[in-house]
Amino acid sequence: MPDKATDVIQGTLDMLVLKTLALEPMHGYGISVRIEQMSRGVFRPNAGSLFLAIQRLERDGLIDGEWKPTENNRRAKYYVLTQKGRKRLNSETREWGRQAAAIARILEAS
Amino acid sequence: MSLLRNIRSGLRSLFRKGQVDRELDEELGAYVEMAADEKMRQGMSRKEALRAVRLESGSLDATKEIVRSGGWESFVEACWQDLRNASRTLRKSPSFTAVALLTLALGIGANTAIFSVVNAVVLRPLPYKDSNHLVQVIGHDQQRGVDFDWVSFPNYHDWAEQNKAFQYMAAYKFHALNLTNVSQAQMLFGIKASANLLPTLGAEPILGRNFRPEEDEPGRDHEVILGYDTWTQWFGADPQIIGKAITLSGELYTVIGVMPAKFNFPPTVPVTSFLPSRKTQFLAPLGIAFNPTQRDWNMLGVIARLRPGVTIGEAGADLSIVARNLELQYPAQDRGLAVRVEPLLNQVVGDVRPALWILLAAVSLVLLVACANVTSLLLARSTIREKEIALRASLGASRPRLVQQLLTESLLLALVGGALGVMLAYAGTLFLPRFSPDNLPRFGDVAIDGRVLAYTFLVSIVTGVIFGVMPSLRPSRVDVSEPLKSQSRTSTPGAKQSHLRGALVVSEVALSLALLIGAGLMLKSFVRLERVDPGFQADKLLTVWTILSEAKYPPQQRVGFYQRVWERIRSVPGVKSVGAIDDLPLTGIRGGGPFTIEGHPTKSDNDAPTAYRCTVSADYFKTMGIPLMQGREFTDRDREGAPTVLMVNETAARRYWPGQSPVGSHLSFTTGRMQPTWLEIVGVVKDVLHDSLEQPAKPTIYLPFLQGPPDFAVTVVRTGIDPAALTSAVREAIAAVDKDQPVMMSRTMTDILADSVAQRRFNTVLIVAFGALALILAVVGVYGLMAYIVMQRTHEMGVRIALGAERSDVMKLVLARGFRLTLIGISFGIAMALILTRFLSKLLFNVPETDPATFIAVSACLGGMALLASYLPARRAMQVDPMVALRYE
Repeated sequence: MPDKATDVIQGTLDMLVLKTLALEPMHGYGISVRIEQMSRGVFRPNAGSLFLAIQRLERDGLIDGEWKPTENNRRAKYYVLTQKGRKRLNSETREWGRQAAAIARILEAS
Repeated sequence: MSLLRNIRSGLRSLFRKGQVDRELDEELGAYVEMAADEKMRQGMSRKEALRAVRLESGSLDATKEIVRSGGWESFVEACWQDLRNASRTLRKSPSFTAVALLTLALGIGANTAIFSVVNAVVLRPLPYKDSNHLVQVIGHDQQRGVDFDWVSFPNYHDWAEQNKAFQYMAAYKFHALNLTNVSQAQMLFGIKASANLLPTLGAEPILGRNFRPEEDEPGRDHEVILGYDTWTQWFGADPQIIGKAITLSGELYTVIGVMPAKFNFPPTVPVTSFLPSRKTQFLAPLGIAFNPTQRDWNMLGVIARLRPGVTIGEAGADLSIVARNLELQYPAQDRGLAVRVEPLLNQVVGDVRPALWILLAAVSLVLLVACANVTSLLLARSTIREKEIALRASLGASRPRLVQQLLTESLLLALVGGALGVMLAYAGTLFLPRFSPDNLPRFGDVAIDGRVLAYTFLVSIVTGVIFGVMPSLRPSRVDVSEPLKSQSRTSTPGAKQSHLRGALVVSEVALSLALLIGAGLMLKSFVRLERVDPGFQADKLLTVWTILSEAKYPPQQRVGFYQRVWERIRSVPGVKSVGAIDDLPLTGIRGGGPFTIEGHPTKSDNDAPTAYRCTVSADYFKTMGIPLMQGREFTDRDREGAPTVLMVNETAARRYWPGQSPVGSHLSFTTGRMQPTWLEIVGVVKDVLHDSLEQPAKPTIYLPFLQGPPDFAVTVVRTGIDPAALTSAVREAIAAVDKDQPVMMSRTMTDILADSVAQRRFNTVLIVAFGALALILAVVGVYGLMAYIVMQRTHEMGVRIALGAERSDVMKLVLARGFRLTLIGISFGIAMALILTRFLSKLLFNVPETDPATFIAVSACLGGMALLASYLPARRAMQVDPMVALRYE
């Protein structure tokens, strides 16, 4: 395990956000914490890239946002995965698996 | 779906900025609070927690900026910001803005106006269905290398039968009929056409029907389709007109149809012809029988519609095969006859197209000079704004962002200039037709339409980019710290910038010189043309055009009619003499042909001498003021039954009777093996420029009116007073002889002469106007640039003077630079003119395209103006007070 949490690998943040939202609707901070937890502290997306990704996904219709009170009685924007988002997550997960396997094979073949 | 959503969300950010910002603030605020809560739960104080969060995820504002710049709307916003910024900067320097806008409006406006003419005349399709499939079929004489628009009926007939490329092929010829039994007898101008002409054009009558094919036969051709204007003007738009009989040239015709208001064929009356109407007033059946002996009697215009999918080239090739077969089949008449197929549009605009393109090129040169002017203005400003730009750069504006900002400014200038230009052009299109020639086809349709606006928009953008790019590329090279440190406003400009200024002076001089040389050549041509002696005295001459109907006036009756008319006109007070000709100079297409000189037989027609032929009355030459050179004129004794006589012009005499007098020799028009009838030459008259003032006189034979009276004649009336004032008296004289005889038209000879050069006058006026505009722009531009150079070097001048330089030396320094730049500009301009005037040669008259006098005079004139423009700043440089210049620091 590396010493410090890093920003996520380029191009994968969208997929990770979709994945966290596949479990349950979540606000921006929650997404960030969830990604950190799930990666066991390897990844911690910075706020700028995270909200940029959220804006992008929302505009593409992959997630929907809704203002709701939090458990601490604050207002936060919760995001929900749409049908389209779920489809995209599936296809991206498959594609990622294929690519990761391929990269692993290349790296192992020495 | 997602695209829509994206656009909607972007638009929301643009137009409900406050709300979107608040939401983003709240969302990010919540994020920070939650992160801080987490830290506090781990035991930090609130203050420490917030600080830690900021360290981890960066400043809130930076994050906001990142998220905001993620959408497309941020680019739009930047453009909007630039636009507001630009309009603010432009408003802050109103004099700069006004000068730049005026320059651009003139340049773009002139361009738009000329393009609107090009658009209406050349680019717009003809007003027929699928008009790009319509072609004109033209005969081409391969031996003489000339085209002729008219072909014979048998050839047309066989082309139409044997071709495979055309859906329809139709023939027509011009025809005039006298409409009587209406309030006032009226000459109608129209065409006789084959029954398939309307299907070829894709046109249909709005009332009644088209001709039937069998109505093409002679004897069955007494049917007529009226033009819309004829129908409304003479028949009160009678809806029951179909089937009624009307009297045309003394015969009854049945009206079978009425054409729509917009219909006209030919699309415009040929530029060269003088006809009373610009619109076809009726259509009658062609009524020609197939007569194999008339294969060389060329009298029909032929148009055709291409079969779908067939190109003009393919159609031409197909028809050439047909023509080749006919040539083999009828070697006597069709030898050397080829066929050409051309877009019908060419028939309409072929003559004016080159002139219009040249005008467009000229006006583009004006625009380029305008561009150079605005560039220099912007350049001067960009030096002043160097600090502002450096400041922006040091505050983090990226280079592309800076260029974008400056480019926005120039595009804004160009577009506003373009909008003003459109207004100028609109005024121009209202004004231009007033001094445009009546015979410029389709000129009445000039208007600012969508295509013109699109063109103007494009031109504005290109203009903006051209004059915007040079100054706006500069900040990318600017060293940020230098201008900020410098306290001096008067530092000597960098070498690069000074080169750019020099280049601008050079190009302004060069561009305007090229244009001015062209204008000079055109002007000189026009002056020479105005001085050409047409061979007759045009002032105080009225012409009256009449055509007699075949039925009412067979040849033997014509003499009586005309003699009575002339008698009556002669008795009108103010009339000095009266003559007549069947082919007035400067107004028409002439007929002629080969003849044989007695004692000089030739082997074939092609070697025989040829001459144009016209018929004139006894007093014609006296009335026109054409001097007799040898022999005698015609008299009233040269009539039917008397020995047949003729006269020739000097050119014919010189060419066919070199070194001797033709008077007394005989010639004959019958060729081949027929028994010749000999005519005796009784006189020689001075040459008259018959075709146009620009073409030399051609051999011409004059025949006496009384020995072969034509149905069509122009009566010329020499008056002692203003000829136009006698128009009604002359018309009354004709009506008194025959109240059913209409007058085709009457015009003064001065008007006819003016009309014959109207097109050239139009071109010349415009080119000279553009030249003048370019000259003014260039002189102002050179003055501005030189003044700026001097202003920038005030400090240096002061130092020079303080160190003991003579004031005259300082002036020489500035003048020398101006002189050098002007000289370079002039040499480039001359080089450019040498290339460009080649395209002008067709529009010149008696002036070579490299006329040294024009080149030298125009160069000297422009050079002088440019030097004057740099002399004024130079004198100011001389008067620099060294103390003031140095204290300026």
